[in-house]
Amino acid sequence: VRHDLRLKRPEILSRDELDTIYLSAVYLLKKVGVQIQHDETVNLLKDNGCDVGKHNIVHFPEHLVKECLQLAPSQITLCGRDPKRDMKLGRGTHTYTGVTFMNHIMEYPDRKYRISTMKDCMDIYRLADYYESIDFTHNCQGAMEYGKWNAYAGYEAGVSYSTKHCHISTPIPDVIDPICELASAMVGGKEELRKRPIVSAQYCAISPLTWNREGCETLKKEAEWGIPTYIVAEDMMGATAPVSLAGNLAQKIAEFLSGNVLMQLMDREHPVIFFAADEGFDFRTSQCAFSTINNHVLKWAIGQIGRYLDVPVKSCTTSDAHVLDAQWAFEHSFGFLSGMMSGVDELVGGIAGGAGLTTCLEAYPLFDESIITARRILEGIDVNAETLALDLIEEICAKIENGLRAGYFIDQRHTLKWMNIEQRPRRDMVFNKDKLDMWEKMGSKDYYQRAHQEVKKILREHEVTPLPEDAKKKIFEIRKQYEIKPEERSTTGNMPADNSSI
Amino acid sequence: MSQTDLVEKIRSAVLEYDEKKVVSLVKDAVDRKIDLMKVLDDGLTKPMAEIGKKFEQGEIFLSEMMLTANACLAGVNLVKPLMLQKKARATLGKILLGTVYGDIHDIGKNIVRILLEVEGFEVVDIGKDQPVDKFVQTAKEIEPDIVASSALLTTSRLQQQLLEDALKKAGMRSKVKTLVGGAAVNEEWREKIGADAYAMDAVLAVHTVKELLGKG
Repeated sequence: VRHDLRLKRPEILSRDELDTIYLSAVYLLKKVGVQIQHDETVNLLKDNGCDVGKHNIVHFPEHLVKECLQLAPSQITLCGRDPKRDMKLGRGTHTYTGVTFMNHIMEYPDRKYRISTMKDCMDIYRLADYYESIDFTHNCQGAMEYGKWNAYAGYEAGVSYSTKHCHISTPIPDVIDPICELASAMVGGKEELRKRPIVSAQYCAISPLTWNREGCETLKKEAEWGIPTYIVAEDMMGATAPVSLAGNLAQKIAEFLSGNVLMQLMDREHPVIFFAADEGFDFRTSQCAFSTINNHVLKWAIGQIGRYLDVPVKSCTTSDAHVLDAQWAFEHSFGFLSGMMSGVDELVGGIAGGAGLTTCLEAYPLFDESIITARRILEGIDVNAETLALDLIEEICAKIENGLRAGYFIDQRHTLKWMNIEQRPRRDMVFNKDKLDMWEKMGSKDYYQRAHQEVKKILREHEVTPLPEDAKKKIFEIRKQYEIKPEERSTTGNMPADNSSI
Repeated sequence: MSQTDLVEKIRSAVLEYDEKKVVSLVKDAVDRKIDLMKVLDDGLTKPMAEIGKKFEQGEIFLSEMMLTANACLAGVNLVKPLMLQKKARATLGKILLGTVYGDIHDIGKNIVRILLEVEGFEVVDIGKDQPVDKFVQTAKEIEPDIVASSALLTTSRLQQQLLEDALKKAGMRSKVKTLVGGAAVNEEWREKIGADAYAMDAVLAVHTVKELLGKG
């Protein structure tokens, strides 16, 4: 697969508009300020020239914001357990794609929900390991029977069942330590982990313009360990941020820049990624919505903003559909295309729906095909003597039988070669291409049924490179030290009534 | 090079769909008076059967199968006349094949022809856009075991119904089996017009022909 980009990135914002949005973000940081609910961090900022007003509202001077932005690396390498799976993020040269998973699993065939378990995490990672189109995994919520340690348990499953980079998110700062202990043991120590970060973590600013105590504590832990940090801005359009996209972007950028100042003051030249999680808001249901029209528009801007700020950026696609249906497929496919055309460095999503609450294993092939298609579009059309194939056209047209042209291209080496390079037909049979009667003969199965068969086959047959014995030993030690074990609880449950848990 | 080595080389050349190499190696085998039955079975037919199976199972794509079939056929065409001279291998049956009038789509029909030839059937292909009269006239001349027609369009498939009637009128219907195929055709249509068999695709067409002639 070629990863070179042939198409010029579409630019949804002019240079003047980018300047205006950026300067608006700087203005917000200086004039409106950011509430920091953590005294130690407030003091750090104060010592570095910030003004602190009532209620711990911190006003950032423009020069500090700019200096810290200069310190943030433009390019970052995120590593996999297998070095061949390392990712070089930055400057929009390539969009890496990954799957995220949530705290519920949609079960085949009834499409009912249950709380996700460690076993589900293992399956999710094994599938992620199998698909070439998946570069990394993002453990948003999983292994829920481990209670507060679920992110650690998810990471354990991640390094055991995938050789790709694992990214985790947790609202609990204490969970960072065992995760990083395991990661550092696997690469040969804490200093080595800085050089080969096989784990990364994130924390969300609380919009509008707030960092809470857990956020500051988590960023501090990540700074201590030196692992790449995603600063997440989840500004719900019209709920916790302006619905108008320019203002929404300005607030998002302000939140990222404030988080970056914290990180650079705690750990100079700390690798940060701007995770611009485009969240919408549905004004009929009062729910957070991940796939409104504005979400797609915003995604087109995010890659451009990353290149403007010269920091790696990440975006996401999630469906608001609760079942794997036409809505799910449309929202994900459109989201992937928007994100990849925009040129974000990382794009995550694919198997998550239910407005960010649900995981569906049968969505994997859909994710795979969307990514392959979007990448193929970005590669454009090769025009050269071989692809023009004039000699071949001439040769085929010269075949005459009974006075009629009788040549065709199917049995040509050129077809075999370029079919694989340009058309990339799938080798699985998930997407129907059969004639009606053949489709009926095969059981009239829809996408969901065929995808389930394929996913089960992969789970049965795909073998992941085993974890080294000393890493398994380290897992045992960490579990003992932190008393990490599954809680006695039911593994089935209903969906939360709203999105407040994310 | 031993007989086994040469046959293995032919087999590899077929799987690499290298027509020129297949022809050169088969000529070498003929010159060295190697058992042609072995060349035909192990060197040419078996690899084609392997590829056909892979295609049926979705492991390879049509171009790969057709390139292999062409390489195989290049060898078969060299060996077959020599074997017929020795009466070592009789044809499995004679098939009259064509695309019906009003239809210029013949890719599927051509694939069927190649696969049938590779299997050892004698195929008389009258081409595309052929009127019913041409089918009947040729059938009278060559006395085939099966008359196979292809139709891609719902408009052109009516010709298959006319062909059934014309064969009856010419007193030939009881002497031949009829096989219908093509994108516009299905089992329901076969039943409606009274054809003997319907094949969904080229690989199934070969299976169906064998079944019709009791060669399966």
